[in-house]
Amino acid sequence: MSGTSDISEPKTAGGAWLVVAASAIGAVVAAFDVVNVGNGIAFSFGAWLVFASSLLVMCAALILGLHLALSGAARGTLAVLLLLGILGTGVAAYFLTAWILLVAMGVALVGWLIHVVADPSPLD
Amino acid sequence: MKTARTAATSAALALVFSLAGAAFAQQEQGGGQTPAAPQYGATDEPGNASGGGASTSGNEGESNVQDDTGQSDRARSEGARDAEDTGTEQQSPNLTTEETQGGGSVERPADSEASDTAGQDEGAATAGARPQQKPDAWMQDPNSWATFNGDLMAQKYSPADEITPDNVGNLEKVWEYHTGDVSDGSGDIPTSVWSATPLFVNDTLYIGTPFYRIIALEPDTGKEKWAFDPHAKLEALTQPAMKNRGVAYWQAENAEAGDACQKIVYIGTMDAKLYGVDADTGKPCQNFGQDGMVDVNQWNTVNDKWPLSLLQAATVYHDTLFLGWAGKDWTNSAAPPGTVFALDARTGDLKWMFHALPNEVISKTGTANVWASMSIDPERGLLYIPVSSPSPNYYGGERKEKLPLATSVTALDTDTGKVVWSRQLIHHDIWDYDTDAPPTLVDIQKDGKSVPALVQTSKQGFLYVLNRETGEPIYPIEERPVPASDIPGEEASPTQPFVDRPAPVVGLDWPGVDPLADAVSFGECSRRAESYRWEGRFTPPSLQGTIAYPPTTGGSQWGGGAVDPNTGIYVVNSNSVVQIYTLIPRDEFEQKSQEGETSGYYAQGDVPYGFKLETFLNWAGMPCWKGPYGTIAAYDLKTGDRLWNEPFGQVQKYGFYMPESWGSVTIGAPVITKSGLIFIGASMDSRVRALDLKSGKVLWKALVDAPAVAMPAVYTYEGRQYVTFVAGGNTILLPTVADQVVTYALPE
Repeated sequence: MSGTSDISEPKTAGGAWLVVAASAIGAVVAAFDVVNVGNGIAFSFGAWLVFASSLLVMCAALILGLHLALSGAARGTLAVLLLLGILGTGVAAYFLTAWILLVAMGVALVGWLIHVVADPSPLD
Repeated sequence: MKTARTAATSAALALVFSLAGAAFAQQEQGGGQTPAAPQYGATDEPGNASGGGASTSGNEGESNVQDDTGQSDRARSEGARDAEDTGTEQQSPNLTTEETQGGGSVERPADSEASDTAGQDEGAATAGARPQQKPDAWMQDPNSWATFNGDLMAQKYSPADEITPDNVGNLEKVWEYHTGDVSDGSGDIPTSVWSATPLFVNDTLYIGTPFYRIIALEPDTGKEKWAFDPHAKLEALTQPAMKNRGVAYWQAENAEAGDACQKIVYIGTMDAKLYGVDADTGKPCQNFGQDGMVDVNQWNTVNDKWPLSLLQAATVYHDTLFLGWAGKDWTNSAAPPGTVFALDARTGDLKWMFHALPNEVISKTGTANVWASMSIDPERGLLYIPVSSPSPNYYGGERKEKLPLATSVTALDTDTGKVVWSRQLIHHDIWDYDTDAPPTLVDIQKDGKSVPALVQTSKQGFLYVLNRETGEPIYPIEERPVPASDIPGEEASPTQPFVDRPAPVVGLDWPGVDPLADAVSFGECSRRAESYRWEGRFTPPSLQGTIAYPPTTGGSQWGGGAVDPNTGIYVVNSNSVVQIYTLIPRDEFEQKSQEGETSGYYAQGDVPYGFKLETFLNWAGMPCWKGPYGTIAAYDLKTGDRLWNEPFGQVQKYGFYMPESWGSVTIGAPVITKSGLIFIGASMDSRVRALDLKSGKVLWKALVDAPAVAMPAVYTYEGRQYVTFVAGGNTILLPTVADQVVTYALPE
């Protein structure tokens, strides 16, 4: 079906970009948590972990948003990994009591749902 | 979600307990494989005569010591100590020795006042017969926090009531101060462990640091007034870390302004030096010892394998300092025997020293020392000492003699050092159940009468409520049969004292296998539990491994509890930990040592068995027993009823906080205020909290730099109530250590 449609579908990928934005904010917050001595989690393994995972979520969402995936299978795999990243980071944020990061991951989850349910595939 | 949370919690707890267990067990008596120690004491030759000639034996009054059999030991103590016969008597010049109850003895300078009067007051051996004493007036100020425990009675109670359950949520940080004395162990200085409760007295906040400096701060601003640095040796001589639990303060009865050293602040060091400095200037008091320093190790003359570490602040009463010491009772069988020193507060001169162990056993055992703080009944003139277990900790086959004062709570006459009464809490201790906290003294309104009581917490989880004049139980203590040892050479006591009321802080049975930890380990936890020996409380250590519950890390630790003297409500935090005690035949132990397998192993000197201490974890490091791992409870001392019992604190590992329902292992203790609040740090989540005394619910909490493993100080200055926490941390709880002093108050 790809390439056969006569209708020019929108390529906005709004859900993925919402994930990018939310995870970018999350990464900034997580970076702050890493270095903010006195917050109870600074320089802890958990703080570093969510900083890294936020960056990974952002990268994965960027790939989806920029339509860089080469195949549907790759996009599907990436979407699943993205979901795991969002959920994992959110759970970690919960146990770190990093509430802003948790909210950011909540927004990212909404973005992921939009991406899955409403966003067009670049291969359509 | 709940399952995931539980799994995550368990995993994170795993490493916590793997580290905490062994470390906790070492906390005051040291431990681990320690290289051969140099000789630290004044090495008098055995049998040296005192300046006053041979020992003088007192004419004992009616003995008031409840020993291993629950009976008086008068018959045994009479004539039991004869230095000339045993050849083991050691005396410094000019000291005379006098027997006291329970096989203990007291040494005094031959020309001391106490020596003159000691032999004459046998009729006053009971507390009731003693003349009424007068408390130190300066210590009666309700605005102050004058001692480590707030007052001499270790009530940890403040009559301040500006901060209430209704407004505690408005607390704000008014200042914080960083001492700079902190080490994470990565450099030349061992890790710092800081449990110093500040003192507020003389309009100044006094703090001791783990590098043994004294710092004086303005109480309302935290600005430094002065600091004293003794340039102490920063080496882990007896402990695995640099430790300090604060300073002591003394004031002359009629202190005159302008005269130096009428008010003195004291700090001890790990190498047994006691410093006294002027409380107003921080300058050493020239008349105290030698240029402001007393070397307590001069009296370390028997089995002097380590210095007598002065980590706990002295107890001050009238013009006397009372000092215990910390060492290590894992590495040696013969070790320095337990001693409490009474020193002149002005000069540091020895008034008396009390020995808890009979001379005839000190060639094969030692310790039974007092490493926790002590309490005093200021009107009765009695010093209450929590006496620890004898060495080595887990095998008593070569110290089978009755040692009635070991693992006891004992009352001493503050003037003479003689035993007034003693109650042994563990007979023939082979579990390292040191009596590890000062008894809390409080008058209980019971059956229409006011009863002078004390409450003694314990590692074994029992709360002993005794008449502090006589040592007799107010709530029943029952001798019950306990399992026998199956170790050749060992003879466990056939009975041990049990207390049902107030309810123990942990259950009589161990919590059982945690299903999740068991599932994760494919049944490893269950299989191991079945292979270990567990026949109920006081199951002796065994070759196959014994479930120890509570173990040396469990029950209540050195902070003890707090009481509201007006209501008789008593609060105490506690730990629920399961460890495995395994004795290892000497040859097998040596083999393991040669193979480098030393973690968790303890030599126990030259007795036939080494020892392995391990926390009960599965292959993944998850605790194999059910939580919660830490709680805080309130009791009504009038009835013995437990009013509430709540999980306390949160476990934190790798930055992740676990559910509050799991609680946290705690180090530290609560403080109660008149307004019905409990202030406490203690938990591993680096939070300080205010709880509702009525319900135990958390009303306020704040984050500090590290676990606040000391009691807070609550005081009032210029009409404003302050709560000061020292957040120093303890690597048993969390790797994070700090040097923070932080004070909270209501907004002005």
